[in-house]
Amino acid sequence: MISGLQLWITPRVILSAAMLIALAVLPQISSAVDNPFLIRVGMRIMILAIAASSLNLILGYGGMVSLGHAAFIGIAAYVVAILNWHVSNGEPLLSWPIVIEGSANAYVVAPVAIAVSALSALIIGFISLRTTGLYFIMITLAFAQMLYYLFIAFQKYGGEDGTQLLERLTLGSVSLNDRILLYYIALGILLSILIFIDRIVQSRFGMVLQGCRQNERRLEAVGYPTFRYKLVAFVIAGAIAGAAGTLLAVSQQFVSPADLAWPRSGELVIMLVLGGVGTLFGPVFGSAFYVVLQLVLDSWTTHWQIIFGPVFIFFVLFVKGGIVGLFKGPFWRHVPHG
Amino acid sequence: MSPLLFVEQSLNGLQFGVMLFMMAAGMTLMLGIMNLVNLAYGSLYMLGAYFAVTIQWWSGSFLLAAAGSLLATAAVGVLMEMSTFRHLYVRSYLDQVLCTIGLNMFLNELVRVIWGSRPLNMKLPSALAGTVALLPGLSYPILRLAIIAVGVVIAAALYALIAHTKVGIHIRAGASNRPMAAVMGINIKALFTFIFALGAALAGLAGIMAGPLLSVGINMGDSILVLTLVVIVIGGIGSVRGALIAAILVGFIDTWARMLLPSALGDTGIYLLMAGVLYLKPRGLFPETT
Amino acid sequence: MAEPILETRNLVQRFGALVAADNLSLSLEAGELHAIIGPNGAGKTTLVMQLAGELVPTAGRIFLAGEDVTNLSVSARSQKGIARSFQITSLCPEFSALENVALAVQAHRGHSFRLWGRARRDSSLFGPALELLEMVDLGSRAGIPAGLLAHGEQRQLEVAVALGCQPQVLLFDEPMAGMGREDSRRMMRLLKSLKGRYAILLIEHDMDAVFALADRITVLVSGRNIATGAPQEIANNAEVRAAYLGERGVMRA
Repeated sequence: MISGLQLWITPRVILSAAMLIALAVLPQISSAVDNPFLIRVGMRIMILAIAASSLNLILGYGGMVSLGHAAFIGIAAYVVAILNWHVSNGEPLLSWPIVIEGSANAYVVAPVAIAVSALSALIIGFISLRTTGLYFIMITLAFAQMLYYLFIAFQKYGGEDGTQLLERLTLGSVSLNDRILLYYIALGILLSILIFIDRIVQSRFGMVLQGCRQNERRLEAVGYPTFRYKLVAFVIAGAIAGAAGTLLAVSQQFVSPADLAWPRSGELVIMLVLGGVGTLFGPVFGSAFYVVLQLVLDSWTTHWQIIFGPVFIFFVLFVKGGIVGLFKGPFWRHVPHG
Repeated sequence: MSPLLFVEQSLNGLQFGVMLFMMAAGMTLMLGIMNLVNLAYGSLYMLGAYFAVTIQWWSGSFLLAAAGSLLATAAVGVLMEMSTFRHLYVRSYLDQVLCTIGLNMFLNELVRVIWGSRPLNMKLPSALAGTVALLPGLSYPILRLAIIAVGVVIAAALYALIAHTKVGIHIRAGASNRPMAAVMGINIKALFTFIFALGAALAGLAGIMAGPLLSVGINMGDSILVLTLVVIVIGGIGSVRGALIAAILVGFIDTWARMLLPSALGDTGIYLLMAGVLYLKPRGLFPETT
Repeated sequence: MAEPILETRNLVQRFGALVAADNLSLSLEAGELHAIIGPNGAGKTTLVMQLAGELVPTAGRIFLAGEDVTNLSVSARSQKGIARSFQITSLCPEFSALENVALAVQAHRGHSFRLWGRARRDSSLFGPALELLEMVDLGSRAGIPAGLLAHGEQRQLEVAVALGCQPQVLLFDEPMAGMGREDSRRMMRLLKSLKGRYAILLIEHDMDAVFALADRITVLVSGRNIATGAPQEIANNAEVRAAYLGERGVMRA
């Protein structure tokens, strides 16, 4: 008989652990080979992994194909940037009816940014989730585009060119200027998010969500008002995307409307598919693969998209399950999409 | 605001709506009949503009450029259909979204390689370059009037095609019941290829019309794509009539919103319209029920 | 006489010019097995969709245990006690048979906005689910993904899922559709075991089953209720015979 431990240690688990370990020691490797660029790469991978994980919750597990998810990342990033702007420019954000000053304290800006993203997800979700299938895809895309234009119109905050975060961010009294500190904070957030999503998916709520992906009609017939469950998932995903957006603003110290545009949302979906839709570590593998691939191809030619496009098409058409799908474990029950 | 300004802006709105209709009609046919999400559709629009600019540069003739571009774009469309899209009809919407995003990436970059990153300009023949006095005090560009005229002709032609020809019957049959249509002996493969070519030509036509008005650049397809999707969603997927009404509506609302509201709200006007419509009618104004 | 547990009054369903339900009134008594039969296109599916809540009737009312449920959504009606099996199997193909039933059980145990705890280890859900699976003779197939079950097993699973909803009324839409002789017999035994314990509205084409199981039969033709009564009465009804003669020849009783 196979022992319980053997059942648990599958190629997929090993690879996922290796991935996490690699991310954890990246700063050490980076200083060993004296290449600070590696930390930036790792940071970008983790931020995208968080963002892709949030999309995974609603798309991979819940079956909601949203092409506007980047909006929730961008909104949070902008909240951080705007609050930052108001510190460096000395004027308050709002003078009436209450005074709201700018802030560069992460303890303040992070919750606010995430809350704003979650609220946006609530509003957009409330309207969009009344539609299904094709309409849903397109309405999410259109909403994100609307926000994109909205942020371009904010000339005060840079308009189309975006805006820099000039004020140094702090976590209370601790400066966040240290790249390594920020890196490990991001890693901690990524791990927490993965655990959080895993718990949600396994819970009663998660079962309903997965049911919605498989057969929504059946779920309604059995007594679940599916709209409510999908909306809650949508808001949670928006909040997590907000966390990613906060990290993005803090690490890049720059935001621009392009962060919200629909090609960005498309990239998230691509990462998710590359890594493996509906699997816990798929988003991590997918974003790592995408970022690294982009860097490699980019070093060969600036026109890397000419190669990537057809390769990706081939991948979607003929390779099922993404990277995670290549490493099946005994308790992997993913039925291929068709 | 003067009534003349209002008339001028309304005509602009109509002209914009007509261009949107070109795109929307093609896309809604593809969606409604072939169940195909094509996010690379904007690139056909872009190719239409680029082909026109190039042919005009070689030949010096605007007419030749327009005709040549239409043919070339339709040909590219057929090529796309036969190589990639054939495999996509049976796949999930997600797979279609992904593949067409990949295709869009590829085409955008290909255009950049062939034509370079700088925007190009299309020259107008003198016949279209001037203005005409529509009302005392109102001079309106002939080009825009021509676009409106072309749009009306195309709308009429599409109506005639769908309502009064054999192909139109096939289209309607294919839209409502594909297995039935196949049993009735309609060649679904040929029909789909035809619709794709038609859609590509319409997108190319819109691109040709856009060329002289906006500059021809990479990513011009991405922005028109979203607008097209908004129009289709408002009009109802699969309905050409819905696409026409929604396109005109969007054209007007967008132009008026920009004129009347501060810039931030002006851009978002049509999205608010879409949100409102979908809240009341989640399947658009004229959904083609299946 | 006790109030019927399910009742429709003057149901009308119009699709443009087509009238799928024409002043349809029928009732279901507690504990009875009431079969609905009729030729194709008679409006049986329309009726099920109206009762389940997927179609809003053009006119008429639907009552569950005296309460007007005409405007309730599908999920609200399920919560009130109307459970349904689908004519074309509709399950969650990636979930196991057990998980499909557990999902139904879960729906009727308070809200499911619990984002913690492991649902799959929740014995308060999976215990009852397994019992229901054993009741329909699928206990040994509990762990198999629903999409991989044989057709007959899937139809049985549909019944188990419906039972998991703790129903007052069971709507069975052609549960024996597409079944061979062996599977049909098994389904008949199952339905027989449920008889009396639940109020069952059975849509079926299989006349053997209908006449063996039904307490009462209603015949639908062109959306109208042309006859309701005990099986023997229906078999002897001239109008019913006439309606069926073109379809099935002589009806067996």
